[in-house]
Amino acid sequence: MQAQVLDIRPIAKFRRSHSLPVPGNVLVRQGQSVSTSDILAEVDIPVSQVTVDIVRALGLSSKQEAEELIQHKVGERLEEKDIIAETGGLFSRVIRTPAPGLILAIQDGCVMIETKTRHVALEARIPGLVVEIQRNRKIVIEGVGTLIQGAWGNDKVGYGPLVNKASEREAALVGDAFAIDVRGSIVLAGTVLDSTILEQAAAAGIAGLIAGSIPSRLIPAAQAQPYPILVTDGFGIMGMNQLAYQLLSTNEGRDAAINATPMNQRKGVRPEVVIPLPVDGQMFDGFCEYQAGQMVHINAYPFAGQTGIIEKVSLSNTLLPSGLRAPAAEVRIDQVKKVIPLANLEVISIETELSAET
Amino acid sequence: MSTKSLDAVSLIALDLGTTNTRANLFDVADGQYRFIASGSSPSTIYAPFFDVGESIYQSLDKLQKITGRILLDKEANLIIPSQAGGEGADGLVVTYSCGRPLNLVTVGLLGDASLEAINELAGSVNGKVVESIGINDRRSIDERADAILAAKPDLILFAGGTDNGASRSVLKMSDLICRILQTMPAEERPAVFYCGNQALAAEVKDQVERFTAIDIAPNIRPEIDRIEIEKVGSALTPLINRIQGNNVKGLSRIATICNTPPESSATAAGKIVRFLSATNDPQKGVLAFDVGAGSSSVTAGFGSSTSVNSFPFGTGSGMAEFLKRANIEQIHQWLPRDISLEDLRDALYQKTLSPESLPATREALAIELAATRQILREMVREIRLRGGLTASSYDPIVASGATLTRGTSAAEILLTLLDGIQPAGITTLILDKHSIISSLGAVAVVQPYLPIQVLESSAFTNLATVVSPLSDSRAGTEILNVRLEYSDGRVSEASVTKGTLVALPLKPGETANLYLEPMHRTRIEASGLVEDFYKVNGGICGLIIDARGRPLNMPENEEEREELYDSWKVALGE
Repeated sequence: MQAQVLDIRPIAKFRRSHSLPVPGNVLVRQGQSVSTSDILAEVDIPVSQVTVDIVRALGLSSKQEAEELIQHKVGERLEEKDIIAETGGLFSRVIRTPAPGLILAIQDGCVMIETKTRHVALEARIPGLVVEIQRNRKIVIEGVGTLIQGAWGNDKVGYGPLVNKASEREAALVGDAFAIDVRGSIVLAGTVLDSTILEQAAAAGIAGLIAGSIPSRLIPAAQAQPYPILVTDGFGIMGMNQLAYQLLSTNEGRDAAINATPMNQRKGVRPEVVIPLPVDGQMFDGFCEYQAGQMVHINAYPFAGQTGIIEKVSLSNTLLPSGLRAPAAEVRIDQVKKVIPLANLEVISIETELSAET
Repeated sequence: MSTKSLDAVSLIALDLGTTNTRANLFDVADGQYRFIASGSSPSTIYAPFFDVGESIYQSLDKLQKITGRILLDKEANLIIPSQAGGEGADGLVVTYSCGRPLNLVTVGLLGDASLEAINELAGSVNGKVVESIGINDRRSIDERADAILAAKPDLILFAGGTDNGASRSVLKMSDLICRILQTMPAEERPAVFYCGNQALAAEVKDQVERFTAIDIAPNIRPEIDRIEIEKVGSALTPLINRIQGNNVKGLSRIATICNTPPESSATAAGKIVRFLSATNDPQKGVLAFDVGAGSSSVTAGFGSSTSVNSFPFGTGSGMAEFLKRANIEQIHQWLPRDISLEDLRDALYQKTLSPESLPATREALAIELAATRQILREMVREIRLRGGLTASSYDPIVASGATLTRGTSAAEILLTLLDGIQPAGITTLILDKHSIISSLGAVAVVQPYLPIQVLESSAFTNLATVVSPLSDSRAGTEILNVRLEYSDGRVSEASVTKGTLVALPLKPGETANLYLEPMHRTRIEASGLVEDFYKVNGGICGLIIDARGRPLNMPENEEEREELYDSWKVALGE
């Protein structure tokens, strides 16, 4: 049975692709090195438009007559009070644009002007090399370094040196952690219990926060922060899984990039932390099956955030403590065996990598 | 692909869900069509496969192992038609609920005519109506255009005018649609589905297809007093398949070997509801609930009308959408005190991060069933708002969905359904334990006898016949005397007090005569009339008198609430 995978590796090579909703201007070239907040490509998408009916405005008798009087073509940009159409003659009447903008269409004697656009800028989100550009729309970046995937993010990106403010993996972040040394840094915490801590972190000018967990009531406050927040394990006060904590805390002082993109199953993206390293790593394709001996991460209540080792896999329906029956595994967590449905287990990729090597 | 009727004996129905893919096998046994077995596999719509093909293969492979019948050839292709040695199957149909919920814009003329009809059609599609525009919309053309641009629609559903009726207004709306389409980048333009005045169909098509793809369908309201939801819904299916074919990789591929185009699970289930409501008690309607992982649906049938209602929320990947509208305190009222509101909120939001996860402990199961109750309540509330519940009572009520069918006890399922749906009158609650109702609807197109015979078989579980009296009396007041006379002469009697649940034994397959003696102005049916006796069927949980009142309100005090809830569970044998 195909396993769900959580990619946590000390040295990894990985590719991430980013796409504009429509083709636009690509600002990078193949082979270029990019950092987290670099803009790869951009495009403007119309969100507001105004229609000027020349026939009605000039009291004309036909659409054709109107179109002959229009002085611009589709694609031309109109500035403030530019003339759109003019009758000419001694008592010439003119129609001026009600707002500056791009002419999107001229149809049936009407001129449609794009007055407001949504600017879409594609950030690199991870440091790496541009390895592929497709049709002015899709850009693929390859990165190398320590990779730690997470569970939730507030859709922001950041970069800075890692500062560990968690003495242990469950430790809650406290307000007095924000001394001058955290400005511009990525702060590591077990959990955050109060929204005022998030506000204090913003005031201290941190570049990002990596927490093992946050209570779900803090979601709105976390989303409102100006810096990226990445939660590795989920909602509650359980703190960070042991492996992620170990990797992050031992890399204290190194620069880390947070891509706190929200998890999106349809697109296959998760929030992640990358600590760039000047070494070569291995690609991992994400395919593996549940097997005894694998290290797994539990992603569901009430064991979310715990890691353990699979002792036995049962692909047939197994009776769970809940009374349901489902394919399950016997997982050893802190020397205690628990029966957990396979649907709640993510194989940690570090293990698959090690087993592939052996 | 055209739909072909079959003399087929064996059929495979694939149901592609967000969490699971199921392969259901139907065949003839003892001269009757029967549901034989089902193979289920986790869906591979997401990473790392991003293609349903793998889970289709896995579910067919499981079905092979369960039945011992060879269904796949050496190249892993499904063997169709069946071979002389019994390998393969004679036909294949596909239903799906795994597509991305679509953003829909509805465009019509009058709010109580074409716009109402097109909104009803939109309700049957897995998605959200993000903007609705009629001729009496007071916003300026530019404001309406901006609203549609902001909505980022996947599909514009456009109706208006009876046949040979209004034309100027329809063309005006068509013009508005074209203007908006022109302002969008070509890659972002939605498809358009036109089902208005047929006299204008060619002109509308000419206008719109310069900018985007347009499908023309029969008029949804050909006459002012006639609505053709079902016919137009069938015409919409290929377009939805094309759009979802881009979202669900592998769907278009499997469609090429199907006997009929794939259709949404909700639409297919609607056909069975239509059949049941045409053959059952004409005074009562039929309801079918499907609580899915990504999306859910309710289909209501009454007489000749059927209303299919899809909702973009569920207990798995649809939980995030549900939490946007859910009141967590209301979900909490169904839980024991030792699960705090904070823990509940965290567990539900954690589910949005791992939508495929299953309840591993009793507490996690209690949370999932509590959320299911509120999902059912939300669907009932929404369908009422849409005017979809026209009958005064419904019998039977069919329930399906993985949350309800994956091994929870019958009593827990029954209590969840009663708390969530709160049926009125006398009704039979049926569990679609194999989740085959949509498969039967799809199969009906190619083999009409199959669903009828399978519905009569034991493929569906009768949970209970439920009597829900209405009374204004205080809790604790005796409101009903019940006498149940079994066919073998035995008798069960009970005196029912307001606020209680009472179960009387009546096994599946048994029938009995039920005598009811209401007291203190207690009403059984909406009409207020009480028949001499009712012939009732048995179920796993027997005959249930749900005297808890409607709407069902829980005490605010946590201790009282938990005691009351425990007493209901005990009454149902939990």
